[in-house]
Amino acid sequence: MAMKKWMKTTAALCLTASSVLLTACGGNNATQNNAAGADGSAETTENTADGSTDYSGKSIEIATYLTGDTLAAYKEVIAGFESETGVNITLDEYGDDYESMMKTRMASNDLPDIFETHGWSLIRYKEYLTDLSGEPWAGDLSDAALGVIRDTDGKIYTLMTTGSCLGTAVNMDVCEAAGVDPWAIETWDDFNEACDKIKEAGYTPIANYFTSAGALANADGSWLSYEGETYDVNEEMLNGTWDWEEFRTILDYLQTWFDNGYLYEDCGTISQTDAIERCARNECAFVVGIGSSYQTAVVAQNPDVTMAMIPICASEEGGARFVGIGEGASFGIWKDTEEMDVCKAFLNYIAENADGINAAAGEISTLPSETTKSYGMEMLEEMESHCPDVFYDNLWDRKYMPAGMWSIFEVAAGMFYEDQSDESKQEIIDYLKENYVDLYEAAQEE
Amino acid sequence: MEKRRKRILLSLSIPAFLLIFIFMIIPLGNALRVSLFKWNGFSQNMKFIGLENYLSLFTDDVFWRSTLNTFVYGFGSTLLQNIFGLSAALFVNKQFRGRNFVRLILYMPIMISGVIMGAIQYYIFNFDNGVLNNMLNLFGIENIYWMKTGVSSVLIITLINSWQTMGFCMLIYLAGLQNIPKMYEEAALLDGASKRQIFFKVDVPLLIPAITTAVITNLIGGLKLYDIIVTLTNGGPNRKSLSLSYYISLLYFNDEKAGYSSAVGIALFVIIFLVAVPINRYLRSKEVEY
Amino acid sequence: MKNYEYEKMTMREFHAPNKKVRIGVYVVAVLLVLLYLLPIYVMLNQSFRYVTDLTPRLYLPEKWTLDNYIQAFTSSDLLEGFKNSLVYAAEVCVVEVVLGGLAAYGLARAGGRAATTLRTFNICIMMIPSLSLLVGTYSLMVNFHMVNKIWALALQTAAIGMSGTMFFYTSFIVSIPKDLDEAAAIDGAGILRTFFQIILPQLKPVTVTRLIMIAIGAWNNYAMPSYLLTNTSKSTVVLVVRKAFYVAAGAVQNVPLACAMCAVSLLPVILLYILLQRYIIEGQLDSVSK
Repeated sequence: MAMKKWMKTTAALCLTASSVLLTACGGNNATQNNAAGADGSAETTENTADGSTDYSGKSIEIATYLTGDTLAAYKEVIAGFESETGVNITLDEYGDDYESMMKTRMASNDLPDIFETHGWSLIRYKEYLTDLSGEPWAGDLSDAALGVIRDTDGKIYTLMTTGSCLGTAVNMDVCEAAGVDPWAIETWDDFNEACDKIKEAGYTPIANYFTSAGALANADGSWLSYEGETYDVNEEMLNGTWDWEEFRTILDYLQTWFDNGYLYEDCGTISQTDAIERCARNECAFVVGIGSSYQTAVVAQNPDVTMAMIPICASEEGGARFVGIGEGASFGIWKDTEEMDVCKAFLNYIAENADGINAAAGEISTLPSETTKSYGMEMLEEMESHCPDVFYDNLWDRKYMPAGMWSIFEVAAGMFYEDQSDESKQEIIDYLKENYVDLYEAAQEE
Repeated sequence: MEKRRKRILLSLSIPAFLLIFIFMIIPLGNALRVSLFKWNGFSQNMKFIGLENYLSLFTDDVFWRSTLNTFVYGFGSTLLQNIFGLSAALFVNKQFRGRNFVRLILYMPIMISGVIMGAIQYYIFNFDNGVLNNMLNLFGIENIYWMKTGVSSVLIITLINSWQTMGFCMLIYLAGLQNIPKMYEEAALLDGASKRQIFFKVDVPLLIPAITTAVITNLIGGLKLYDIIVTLTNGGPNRKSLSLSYYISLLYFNDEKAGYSSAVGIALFVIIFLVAVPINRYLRSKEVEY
Repeated sequence: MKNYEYEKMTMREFHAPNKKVRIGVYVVAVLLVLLYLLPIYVMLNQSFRYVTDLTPRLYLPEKWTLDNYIQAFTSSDLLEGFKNSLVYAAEVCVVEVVLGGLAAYGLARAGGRAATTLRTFNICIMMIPSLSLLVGTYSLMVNFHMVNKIWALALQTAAIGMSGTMFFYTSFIVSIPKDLDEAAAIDGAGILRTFFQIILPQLKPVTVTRLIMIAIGAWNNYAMPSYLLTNTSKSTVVLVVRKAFYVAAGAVQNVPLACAMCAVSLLPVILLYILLQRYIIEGQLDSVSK
């Protein structure tokens, strides 16, 4: 069901999302937004302060997938709320296991009072979430955020404080050393040309790792989704009639990475940490289809590296270069929570104090209350200035694929790493198709 | 009187078997039921599909690969642990200063959890900037990609697991060696037997009870190997180094195929059962009394 | 062992190596110790680095820092983890040893077909990996609200280990003369009293060994705790450290910090191991040689 609703709003949302981001990042409007937001948030602070005294002695449970600095920032927010209201908060840090933990908790219908929806507030978690469209912060959310989290009937189920922003990460120092201008890259052909140059200069062009589904799924919109691209099959993907044979185009292209030796030899067994470390050592140039948190992590390891984000290439000359926008830090409330008031007050509190989380996550802000510009936002603005015609869309797999496909893509990425022959490609396509059909049907039944 | 006593004695085992019933037999029944359904593990929808999950086992390459790996982890580790353990026992049984310290260090890794050991070993076997390759570089050898294939990953996991837990074997053999009455060796020495002959003709047969204990304990550990794989290879490359235990949990929590995961679990249950019975019988029958 | 002295005097010819061999022995000993301390070195070496330190992992840090340790020590998670692990391990130990010992005594003394059948059954299920029943166990725990309850996990762990403990005890109880029981029975002692007053003291050394093995197993257990203790405040030490090695979206993985946490988590274990080595190593030697 969720899929069908998505289909209808897709086009409109993309347009609003992109236009607002364009203006919001332009500079002038941003300050206005900030000013307006400051007024709005001042009001809500008072509300929270008034109600806050009632909550001492109450306790809520929060689940998070955040780790590292972002988690530390989140903990600060939590501590602030605790000391202000007297609420006792239990925090479950699930890290990598977040999804499996949430699945099992859904199975037992015993969810934490507040949990992160990480891109699935509508498709996976909706039936477990509280409608939040009446909350004071709901009106402050940027249209980019609403484009991702608003249901067709106008309801929203999550407070999205940051958007993750998915493009191609670039190590500018390596590019410069190899004499490549990343801003000039428009199509995949241009990209490969740049990679050739970088390889010649003695660097590894692409640090994508095939232990992650992202290697196979994150850039797919570039071939499949937009006007002027190889295929424009959004409708078919959403209504379950898509011919998976078209996926071969993507595999054929990815094969050039292997054939031309653009990738690390061990790209099938490394994790994101390794890619980050190598990039921090100025060894590699690009990671295609990765969130801006990657660059944040690289710079944290080596502050001297200059990183940037370019859009994901177009598949054809004149096609749209695109950037994916997804739910970043987003917080929902379990519909059966016993402490609804406390939970809502907590979300209000986050909405006003999200700065720290945003800065640590390096993602783009979706609330006007942000006062300091995050690293991710800076990169986005830089990209805007170079590529004003960028196209924005929700993350490909979250928008066009049924829930559960991500881990299927992860398996497929492993298969593709091991063998790029035609038979293997056929096997991968069959595998993806089979699971897509299964999951699609399951999603229809829910 | 005798009968009543016997009944009371038997009843002493009730609490233990009750616990086993609750946490092994009921889950087994549960798993048998779930294995007949197509179920993602959390949705309210469960679709009955009969034996389809079991039939899929036959065409699932990953399942067979993981089964093979499980055997390698089980029997391979057992073999290596016994070889390493016996060698180490013979070594620390020698007279030299500091042998207690060596023994202490060799047994120590058993104290460390497999997950943590795997996480550390990851940085040793890493291709780029791994400690092992750092060392090879010192000798002018280029980086070696240790985890390149499924086979090499499986072997390295087996090796690390054996390396980590061989201390247990070492102790068992050490006890065995020290328990061999010295007069046997002396008698053989007087008869003009060589050291090698003494080892194989006198020591080894008398070590059989020790071998029994070591083999069973190691097999149990190896066949359920899970922890170290999680952090060392994560089952990669391309799910080629999974053990069945790990495959089951991936299917359940990652792939959202709880029904199929149950079927694999039942298959593992049956496989282990089949392995356990004859091995135990065989080893028990070979025990030598002295 | 007690026969060291005896061995030294009479077997000098046989075991005492000549000078050349002696040097060889020390070389091997040093290499072995280095091989076994390598992971510890890797871990410690990284734990003293800044996150920005990208020198190869084999070499010492560019600039040393204690920041990671300060952070690790002040992290409440680790402290909480220690507490949870202690409670968990203690619970498993008590349940497994008391119930397993009682059951083993009953089965060993009762004799007859029923007892033999139960013992065979016991040996067969001893090898079953708990993850083969993952789906079944998990849904059982969910249905009876036993997720995030340390005692429930302890019962589950004890149930899985129970057959091993029973098997372990049985072989020792068999070697205790029945005359002891009979004498106690003539004195009018009941079966339970006989067990606790006559048999258990006889089993003291093996019980210590078994307790240590169970405690190590529980302390290092990862698979089931990771699924059944989902609440951070219930995490065991191993879960906390594993979490430190995570990479999740939107986070910088801090390997040095993770290594420092790892070191802190291992410190008490290694210290206890060194302090209790007599019980751990000698105890194990004694128990297997009985």
